[in-house]
Amino acid sequence: MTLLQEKWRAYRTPGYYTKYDYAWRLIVDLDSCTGCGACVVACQAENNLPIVGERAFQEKRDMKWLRIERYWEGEYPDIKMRFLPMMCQHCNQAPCETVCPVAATYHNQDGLNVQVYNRCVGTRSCAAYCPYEVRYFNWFSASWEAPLEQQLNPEVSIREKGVMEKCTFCIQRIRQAKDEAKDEGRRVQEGDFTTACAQSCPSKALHFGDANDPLSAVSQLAKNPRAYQVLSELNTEPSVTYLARGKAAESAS
Amino acid sequence: MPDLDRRTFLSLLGAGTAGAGVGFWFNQMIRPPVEHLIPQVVAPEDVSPGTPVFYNSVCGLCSAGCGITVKTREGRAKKIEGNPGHPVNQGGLCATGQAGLNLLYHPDRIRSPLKRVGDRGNAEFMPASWAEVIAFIAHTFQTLKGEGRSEQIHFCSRPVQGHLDSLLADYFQQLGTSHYVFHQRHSARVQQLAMQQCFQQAAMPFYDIAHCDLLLSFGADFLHSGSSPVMMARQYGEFRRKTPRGHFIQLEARMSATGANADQWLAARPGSEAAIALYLAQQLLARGRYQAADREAWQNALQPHTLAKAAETSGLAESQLQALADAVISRTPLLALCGETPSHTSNGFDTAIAVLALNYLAGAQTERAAIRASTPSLIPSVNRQVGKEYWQQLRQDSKDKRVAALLLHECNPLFDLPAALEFEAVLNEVPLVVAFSSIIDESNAYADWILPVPSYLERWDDIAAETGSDVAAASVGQPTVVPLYDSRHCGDIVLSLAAAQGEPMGYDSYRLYLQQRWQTIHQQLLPNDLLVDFDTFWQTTLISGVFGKNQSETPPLQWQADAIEKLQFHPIILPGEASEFPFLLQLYPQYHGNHDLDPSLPWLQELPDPMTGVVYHNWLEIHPKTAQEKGLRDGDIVRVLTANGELELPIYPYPGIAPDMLAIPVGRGHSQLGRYSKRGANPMQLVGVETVQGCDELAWSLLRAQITPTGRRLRLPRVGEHERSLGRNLFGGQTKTIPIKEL
Repeated sequence: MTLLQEKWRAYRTPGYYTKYDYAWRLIVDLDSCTGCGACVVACQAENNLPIVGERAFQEKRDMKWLRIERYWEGEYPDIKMRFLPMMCQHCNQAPCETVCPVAATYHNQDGLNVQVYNRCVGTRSCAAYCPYEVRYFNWFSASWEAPLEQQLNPEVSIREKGVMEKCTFCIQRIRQAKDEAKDEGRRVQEGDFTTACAQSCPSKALHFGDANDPLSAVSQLAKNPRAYQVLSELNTEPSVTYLARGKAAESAS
Repeated sequence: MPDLDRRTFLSLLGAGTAGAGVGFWFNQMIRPPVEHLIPQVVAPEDVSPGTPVFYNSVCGLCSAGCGITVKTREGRAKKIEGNPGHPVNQGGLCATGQAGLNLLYHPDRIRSPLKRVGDRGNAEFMPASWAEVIAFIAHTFQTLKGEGRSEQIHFCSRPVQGHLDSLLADYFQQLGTSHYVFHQRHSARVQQLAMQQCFQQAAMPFYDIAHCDLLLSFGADFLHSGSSPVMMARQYGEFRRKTPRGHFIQLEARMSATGANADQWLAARPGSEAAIALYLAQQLLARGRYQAADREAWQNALQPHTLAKAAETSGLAESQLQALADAVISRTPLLALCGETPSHTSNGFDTAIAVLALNYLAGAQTERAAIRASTPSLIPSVNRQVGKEYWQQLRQDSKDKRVAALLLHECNPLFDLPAALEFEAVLNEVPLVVAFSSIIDESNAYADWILPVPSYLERWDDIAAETGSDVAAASVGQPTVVPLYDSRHCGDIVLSLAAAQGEPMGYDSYRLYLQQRWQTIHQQLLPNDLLVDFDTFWQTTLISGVFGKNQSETPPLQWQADAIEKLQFHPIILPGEASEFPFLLQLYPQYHGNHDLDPSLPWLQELPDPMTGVVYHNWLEIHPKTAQEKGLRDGDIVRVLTANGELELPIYPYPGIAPDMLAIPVGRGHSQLGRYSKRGANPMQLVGVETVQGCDELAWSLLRAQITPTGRRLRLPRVGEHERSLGRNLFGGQTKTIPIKEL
């Protein structure tokens, strides 16, 4: 066995991530999610996502770190529509990490799948390997029509042409919370901060927190029998857990 | 070298080696713009570099009055978040509310008062000064008043809430005109009139979604385009999480984004909602759920509304309706909601009343009815909403030269009203048209003067949460940034007009007026609490963004005896012949575009529609099979004809619509309103002047239509590759996962 294989095996051993300082988790309760899109705009505002224009949408080059997928089921009149908020799943066995030739995407000490923009050379391999299709490539350098640029969040960098980007679990908020906690000599606690999407959700369908804290809301919700992970059969071990829609108690017809 | 920083110096060095002669001009060209540093010694009190400052305020994009927290950095607004302490939204905030920053920083905002230079409607303006415009309008008003023609001044506004309403009412009374009215494209007026008739209540009721067990929605899109979507969604979340989990049934013919969340979705024909609601009400009586003294009267009124009739009009099977009746009987509390689309058909008033009756009969003899009276508002307001009669009268008056001035305050009737009401002719005929606005829209393009108003993030405002709320709370909106442009608050404009007319109203600014009025609230609501003086009260309210009063339980509603006979079902009437117009066309409020300014906001334009994923455009929904039969492909542009007009739109094959129906969202299709909105077609062109029977609201939501292909195509910009889950494990429990170690 080569050294490379040995390292890879060690890296892929299940349970490795329990050693992390924090294990950030996002819980999406599909029973409460109404598909309104408040989280999408919250993400756009927080993370300086550009206004790409009509043509970019026609060419499928739009940028939304968080999108709401929609799926029809059945045929009229017995038809259903289901919403599925989809963002980077921050997989603990992430296919995108192993494929990057320059290690621009890697796992950080909090179990986050992070993207180093300065290291990215734009091969787009990670996007090809991502089963969730949540990585977005900057085909152009974004521009903001004045004075819209005055809105840009100074905590988040603007990405240049040729760089891959994706949901960061609002890492700027995580860093700030950790910084403040460190000043007070404690760990980050439940309620110190949340991501922009979870903060905005009108029906409180999104929950963000530390799964290493057994008392946190995300740890409790992950025990829910409705909990599942999207495409779990791929063994990517996502950090995003979904709660399936509840079953109607009894049918009225 | 005062203006030479490192970057400029290095650039100059490069230029110097290229050619020393051009050095001076090059320096002029590349000199960076002068910027102002924040002085550390005497820094502005609200700016500390690197640290965000948060202001609590109130959202001004719709009338719900959600509390917002605006994050500012170095004096610029960066993000709008929900105020967790606000009783209406409790920390959540909808997409529209968050996109309010786009309005503040919109590239096409009006930056100074404008005076028309071209023909009306051409939107050609030149900058003017405030002194000029105030003097001109004040002079015109004074002349009209002198001639006894002040009644010919019309002020049409978006629904104004809070104390701005009382200031405007005082001013127009002083001026001598009674034509101070509200206009809104999508209003709950039909339901308000039904509330008035059934319960003698002017305000909308409070719908207790969170605590009901069965939520029965008749085409109500309450989660996405209702009167207070964030409050409704917050309650909906509680409704889903409580034990036992609430059950949600939606009845409609075209699946709305709210219908997509239902546990059970029943495809009832449009216009049959009243028949179903009355059948269910009749079942409540027949099975003994309502035992009060007036039982007999109810029974007589509901006798004709049988199962057979409901099944025939709705197209639902009798077994489905019986099962629905069983659910209504067995599950309590029941909450029935009437939507905006069903209430704007010819029999929409019947539907609104029938749904109220169903709620009343189900809840009257229970401990806690799911529909109750709203709490009285902390800031009294008057409903000045007008309907078709006002616009027809305005057209007649304008023909007879009896309209001297028309003032439009942040509303856009030209876009909202059908062409048959001839509002364009009014705008062309009235001698003086003045618009208060922040962006040029279709109506403003006809104005002689446009007065820029600050966005809600730059001005003082107050809003009392009142429509359909269980909280008695009033919020103060405060400026969160220094106004970007030379704009003035509508209240300030009115105060300066009054002063220029020689009849000052006694306040130097709207802020002082607002404070004065809040002193009254302070005196009335905290009379015994002498420990809190007004300054402390005012500061505390500004810091928290909201002032609430502890409220006892909201009172139950009492049905008016004479309203029982109003329970009727009129079959739907549609203009045009079915042979000529074979399709039923439903118009519905666009999810991210149902308020006037929504389409101007780029974040909302780029937020995919929840049901279709389309951005920027609007579209015609048609069932995929019908499209196939007609030989139409996704994106083919068709001409849509109704008895009143026509337009061209690309088709969208929509699986959730009846095969003989079409649907178009209302909101997009602007010819003005900034650079992001000039796409699509305005479906209000298809609407006629038919009204809802029993009130003067336009019956705009259901029409007969015909489509013909044009042979052209448009690739609709949209997201979403696959519309079916194709057996993938997306919603849980579909596939078996084998852990790595077992592989």
